[in-house]
This record gives sequence, structure tokens and C-alpha cells, in this order.
Amino acid sequence: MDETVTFLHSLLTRQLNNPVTILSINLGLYLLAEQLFIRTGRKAWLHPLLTVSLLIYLMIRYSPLELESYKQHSDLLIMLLAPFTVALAVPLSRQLHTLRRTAGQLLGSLLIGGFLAVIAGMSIAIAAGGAREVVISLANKSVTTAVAIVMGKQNGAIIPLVAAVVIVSGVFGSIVGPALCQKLGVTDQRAIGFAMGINAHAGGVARSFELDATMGGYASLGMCLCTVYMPLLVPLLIDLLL
Amino acid sequence: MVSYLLLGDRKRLAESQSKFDTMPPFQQSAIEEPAMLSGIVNLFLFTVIGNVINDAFSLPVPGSVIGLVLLVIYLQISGTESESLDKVSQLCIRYLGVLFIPGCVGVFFLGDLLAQQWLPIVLAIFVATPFSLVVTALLVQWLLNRRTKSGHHHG
Repeated sequence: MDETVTFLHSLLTRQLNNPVTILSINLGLYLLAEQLFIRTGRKAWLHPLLTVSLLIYLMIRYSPLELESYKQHSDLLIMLLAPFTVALAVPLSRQLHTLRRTAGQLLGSLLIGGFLAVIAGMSIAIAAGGAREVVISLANKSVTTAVAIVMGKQNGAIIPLVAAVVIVSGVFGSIVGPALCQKLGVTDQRAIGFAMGINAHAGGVARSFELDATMGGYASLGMCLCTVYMPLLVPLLIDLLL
Repeated sequence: MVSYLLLGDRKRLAESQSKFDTMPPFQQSAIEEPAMLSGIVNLFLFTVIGNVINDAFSLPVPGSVIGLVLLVIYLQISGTESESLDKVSQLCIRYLGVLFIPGCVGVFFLGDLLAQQWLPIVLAIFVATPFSLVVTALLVQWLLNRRTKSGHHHG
């Protein structure tokens, strides 16, 4: 009996830490969590990434799945961030004709709005006594996660914190953003969309497309332009403020 | 097929076989797959070019962003829309979230840091983000309106 238990346990340990199993866990749990998210009416606290990461954390804690092998075999997903980011070029290229008509206004808004997004986050964090690495991690929060993570690696941020901060501020911004804008007298869908794209990136784009097609188009434009602007701006601001 | 053979229904067997000859069931996927592949290869190619440029000139902009910019320029100049690239990039954007799972799992192992530094993190996310979002929206609206008004003057 004991032998059987030991055998099964070692079999489970070997197979749970197999690269293919880990990839299946990542993809499979995401699929289930996304179904749950959609069927429950897209409640923010049931965001698929939150559910999946909690479940995987529990597996690492309470099952023979080991943190080291999970990290090692999830590298494939992190490697794919770069080509997936390049994929954003396709919708951006399609949006570019919109930019031509209002290029000056939108570029001005991007320069000031993006600067504001980074400086607001950094200065509030410094004022609240944030440690250097934490402030650097927060400085990366106004780009889509894929770029934020690559930037974080270059400027010495805490990568899991960067991922979490970007995703949470994206989800939160996309929930409160439109209502708050309307309350403060912003009626132009293009303005709300562009601001959502800069400050709430992927979450903001998805939410904007749900609300209004124009808003969605401007949100994706704002997000894509930030992927180019932020890697130039953030290192400058880090040097300046820290 | 097997049931046709067992029943000995020659006519239906012949029909199904002739269908089989003209339209093998795997033909469709055989056409689609290289099409998907060309989109995938394009994305990887632009990523690699971006990485090479980033590495060669030690630029602060990540290779993936350089690749993105180059692909936009390429799409604008060529003016053609590749169906395969469209499909692949839609798929990538749709499932981008999957790639963030390892990063999010890492948050649960940051216990000590979060216990000490929760205040700046919470303030930056829940105060600074909506603040800069609203101010940016006001700014964009003001700039866009100014343009329409000056446009009316000129018109």
C-alpha cells in the first residue's frame, strides 16, 4: 500500500513538472477561467488572469508542482511576448489614416498625456515612501504588459510586480475611466478612447470597443503609440526623479 | 466508409469515393496551414530584425517595439493586406493575456515586498491611473475641439 502511494506520488511529481504538462496547465486553466469570466458577465474581480494565477499559486503551494520548474517551463510564454507585441502593428497600421487627419492634436495629447501618466504614478509612489525598485516598476505601468515587461527587464524593475501593476491598473482604469470622464464633462468619444488607450492599455481598448467603435479605435491608437513613446520617455524620467 | 462496404451499396460507395477523390478532407487544412505559417514567420522575422537593431545600436527601445514600427512602415508602404498576417495578429491580440500568466503567478511570491510597500503601489494604481486618465481625456477633448473651431473660422 505504502509502495503504491510512493509510486503514485513520484509519478505525479515527475509528470506535473514536465514542460508539456506545465504548458497545458497554463493554457487549459486560462481557457476555463475565461469561460467563467464571460459567463458571469465579465466581473472585474473574476478577471481570467486573477483566477488562473491564484489557481497556479495554490498548485505550487499544495501539489508536487515546483516553483522552479514552473518558472523554467513557462519561459516559452515570456519568449512569445515579443512577436505578439509586433502583432499590434496590424491594427495600428489600419488606424493610421485617422492619425493623419488629427495628427498634431493626437501627438500633442500623447506627449503630454503619456508624460502625465508616468509622472503621476511615480511621484505619488515616491511621496508615499516607495522603494527605488518599486517606483521603477510603477513607472512602467502605462504601456501594454508585453512592452512593460521587456522595459522592466532593461531598467531593473521587479518583473512580477510590473505585470501585476500594469494589468490591475488596466482593468481598474477601464472600469472607472468612462464614467469618471463623463462626470467631468468629457463627451468626445475620441478623447475618452485615446485616454483609455494611454492609461489602461489592453483592458482599456477592450472596454472601449465594447462601449463605442470610435472610442475603441482611438484607444488602440493610444495604446500602440505608447508602445513607441514609453521606452523613450520612461528611462529619462527614472534618471530625472530617482 | 466501412458501413458502405458492409452493406455492399456499390452506388453510394462509388459516389462517396468520387467525392473523396475530388475533395480529400485534409485538403482544406493543407491550404490553410502554410497561410497561417507565413503570418507567423513574418511576425518572428520582424521581431528578429527589431532585436538585431536594438542589439547593434544598443537602443533603449525594446526590439519588439522596433519590429512593430518596422512592420507598420512596411504595411503602409506595401499597401497590401496579407490575410494570413491579419489572421495571425488577430489571434495573437486575442490571446495576449495567456502570456501574462507566469508574471501574475509571480505576484503571489512577492509577499514580503507587498507587505512593506503596499501603499505606494495601491496609490499609483488606484489614484494616479484614474487621475491621469481623466486629465488626458480633458486635454484631448480640448485640443480636438480647438481644431474644429479654428477649422470653422478658416471655412
